[in-house]
Amino acid sequence: MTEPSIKLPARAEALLSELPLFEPDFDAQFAAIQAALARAPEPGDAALDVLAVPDLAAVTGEPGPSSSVRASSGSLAELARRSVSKSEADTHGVLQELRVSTAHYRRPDQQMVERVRAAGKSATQTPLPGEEEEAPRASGVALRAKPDDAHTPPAQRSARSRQWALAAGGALALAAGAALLLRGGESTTFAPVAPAPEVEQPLSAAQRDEPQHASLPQAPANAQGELAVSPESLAEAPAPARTPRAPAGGAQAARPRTAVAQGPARAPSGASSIVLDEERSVPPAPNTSPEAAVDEPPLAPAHATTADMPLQPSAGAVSAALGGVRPRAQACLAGHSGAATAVVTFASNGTVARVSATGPAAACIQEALSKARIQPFARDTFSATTTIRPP
Amino acid sequence: LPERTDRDLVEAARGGDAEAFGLLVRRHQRRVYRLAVHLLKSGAEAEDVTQETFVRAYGALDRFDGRSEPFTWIYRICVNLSLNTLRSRKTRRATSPDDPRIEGLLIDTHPADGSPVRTSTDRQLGQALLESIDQLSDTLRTTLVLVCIDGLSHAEAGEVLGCPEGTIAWRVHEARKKLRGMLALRGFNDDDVEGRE
Repeated sequence: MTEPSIKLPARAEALLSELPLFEPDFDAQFAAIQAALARAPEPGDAALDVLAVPDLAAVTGEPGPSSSVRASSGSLAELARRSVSKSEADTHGVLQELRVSTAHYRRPDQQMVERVRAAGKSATQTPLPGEEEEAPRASGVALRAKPDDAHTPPAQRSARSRQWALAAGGALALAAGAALLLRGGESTTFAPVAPAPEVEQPLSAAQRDEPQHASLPQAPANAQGELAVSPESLAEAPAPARTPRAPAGGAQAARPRTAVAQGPARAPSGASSIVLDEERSVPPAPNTSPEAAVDEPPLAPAHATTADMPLQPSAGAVSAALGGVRPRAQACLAGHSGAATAVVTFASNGTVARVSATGPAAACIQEALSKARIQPFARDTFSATTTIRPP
Repeated sequence: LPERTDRDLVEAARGGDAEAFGLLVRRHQRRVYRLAVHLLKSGAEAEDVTQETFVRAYGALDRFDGRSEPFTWIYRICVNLSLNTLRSRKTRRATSPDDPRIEGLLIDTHPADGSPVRTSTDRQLGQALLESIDQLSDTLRTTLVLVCIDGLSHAEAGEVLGCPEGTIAWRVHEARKKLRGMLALRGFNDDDVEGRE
């Protein structure tokens, strides 16, 4: 036996190597073993799980195989050779050996973990195998050596991988959608614009000066009155005049795929709507980035009604109008903790035709928001969704 | 006739020589039982595991590939069966009513120098030592039993447990460190310790 680096008290050291045992009658035991062997199956029929490497949890700080000479059973090459040379019945034992032999690759290096922690970052949110002092089943070895895992068919494991990949992809898509929405005007989201009325109306002077815009699809106007135009909608743009009103279902189908910023109540069919957030108003700069433009839904062609009447109110105008009545609406929420959401529908004369509020003090908020006024516009109605939070 | 080695006996048993396997059982029966007792702390369970170890070994003779010594191969079977028994227990009991180690301490007829005082002290020390060993984790306890109690080399223990010698050495060091601390807590200070790290 190798000379120990740490010695116990001398008597304890002596006792350790000669611990007395009350021993049974080994002759009787031998007879029992012989009798059991007589009933035992022939060699080669034994269950092989007991031949595998004992399933013992690694101890915190334990050195890996690289620190010393590997035991012969730890040779990966040998294990691989055995895995192909043995019969199917031996697979479980070989798999278990492989898992234990490669456990150190899956085990986080203690020094690395400490270094990451020192840098103020958590290496992982899940408990690490070495975090608890000698936790009986804390190591990756013990956890991964569960028989259930060993018998999981490859098809099932790959299905799990696909599920993870799908989940990750979905999360990425949501994040990308949210980022585009934010970039496209902070939290202001434009719902698809319904087509203009069938009435043929004269172009404004400005539009006459810029005839190419007359054939462009209508993009939501921002505070500066500029348009965000997508190349797809350019290609699909119908003739500016005599465009039939799209059916309600068409407008519905053309809603943005990302429902993140959708308000609780939908704007009436055939009407324009805009979603405003209390804290985030209209973006100061026009949004004409290609990515954002491509993400916009197909838009109806622009129509001007009269020279001094816009087709629909600008986002800035709606924001300003709602901002004027917001303090009063917020006052309704005094003493409440939750926010309320309201859909304000403006009539073409600029007055509020309808307010639909959900949340606390809905009636009071409806009353307050109904005082909003905007400049008259050509469309029948225009809806905006806004969130009111307590003062 | 020269004594047949374990490998010879295994080869003969493979060929159907039941007597050869019986010799192998006789040769290692006691050590296997002692190993099982230290892992299980129960005489009855240790006897069952000992018997089952040889039955399993006999059934798996064809699987013995000769890369290790037969006794380390048998030891591995014993360790696995002992661990299975430990894990099948509903509760992890601290003491066993039929712990042959405690009985061995009580009937030990070889006190250090024959003086009653010394014998009593040794019993207390032995009991403290056993309790300390039992508080170690399965991993450290198994390694300590194989190396320090049963006297296997690090390489042999590595073959049994399927890990490198360095890991065995580290575990023994760690187990000893813990044992020394636990003994000190029980009043068995290392005033007579011969060497320190």
